[in-house]
Amino acid sequence: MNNCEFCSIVQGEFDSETIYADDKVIALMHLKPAAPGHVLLFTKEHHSIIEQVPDFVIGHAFVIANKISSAIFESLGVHGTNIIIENGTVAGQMIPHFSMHILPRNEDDGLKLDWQPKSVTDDDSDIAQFQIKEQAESVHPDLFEHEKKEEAHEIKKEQHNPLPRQLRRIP
Amino acid sequence: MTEMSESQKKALMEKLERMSPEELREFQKKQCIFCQIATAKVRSRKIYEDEKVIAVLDINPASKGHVLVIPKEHYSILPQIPEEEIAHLGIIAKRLSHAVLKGLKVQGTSIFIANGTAAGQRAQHFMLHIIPRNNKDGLLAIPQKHVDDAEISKVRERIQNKLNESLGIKKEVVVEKKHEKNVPQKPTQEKVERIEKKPEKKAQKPEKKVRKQPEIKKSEAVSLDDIAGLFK
Repeated sequence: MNNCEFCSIVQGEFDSETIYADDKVIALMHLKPAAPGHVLLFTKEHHSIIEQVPDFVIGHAFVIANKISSAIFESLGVHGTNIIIENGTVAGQMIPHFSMHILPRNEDDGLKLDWQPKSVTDDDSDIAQFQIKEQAESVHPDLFEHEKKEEAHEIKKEQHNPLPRQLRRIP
Repeated sequence: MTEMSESQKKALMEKLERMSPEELREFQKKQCIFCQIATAKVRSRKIYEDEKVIAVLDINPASKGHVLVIPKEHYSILPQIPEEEIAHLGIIAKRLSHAVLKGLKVQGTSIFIANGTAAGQRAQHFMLHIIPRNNKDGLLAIPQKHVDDAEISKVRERIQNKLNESLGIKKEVVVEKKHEKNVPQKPTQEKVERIEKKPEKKAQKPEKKVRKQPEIKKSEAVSLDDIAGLFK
């Protein structure tokens, strides 16, 4: 996508502190980190929010995020890590390109990334449960079949558009 | 849990020390409230369940509709979980986030993982949080600090070398220590080579034009394009 900061990084327009890249995701050091060692991982394809990212890419992104989190644990000797996805502007997402934050944590690092429990009445919780559950059922009726579907989807897509990706990138 | 006397505590500690790792894990499972939620021994507000995970509402929510995605198997932190299950967790998190957006008509979610008490983890059973977000709720703001470029490069070198080691990439990253005049500060090594040999997926859906829509009316169903369109 034009004018997207992350897409520009993917296309190599900016120098960046890249620590990992494959055909689906790229990970680099955050240049304004919450703590030294703060890594940002994002998809190579442009997707605004997590719901728009294909399942097989999400699964892969989580696996790589975990590997980076483990590498942070071992290399920096920190006592914890957070993996955070800000999904939507109200969640603090600033660039409309799906990304994951991987943060090194220590007991007294001063980062306030916890929350005070909010009091919600039983009735309100029941309603919330009903509303979410209803959507969880209707949106994804076929959760066990998702892997098979993914494969079928991929094959279909390839047949549909035989142009190499590089070509289509040219404006 | 009931209060234990000093002698009981001591006996318990001794028992724990004698346990093999397998026994210890078994013991932890028995004590773990989330294992009991997973097996329905403890009541919860269930949202979703499959063979690997269960999703329930958090009883101490950061906001109304706060969902916990819990692996049924007892793991303390993410690195202990097999890759296949991690990928599954991510996919389920995506789908449940979608359900939260649509069901509660909120404009965003935070997906949050804490590994270790230093990161804010409170239970000894791994879980993933999906927190419905609203404007100005003041939750989970990741601060941005100014850190020296050289410092970032140094930390990068350490993380990347460890990461390459774990991925089986034989390439050492050395950050240049001396910065010559007029030469921008840059690590000497190039980008990491691709480790996956799979061919690139050729066909991709052409990018859909996202409509600009500054605000979402509460009464309407929230569509993903609307949420994506909130960016300026």
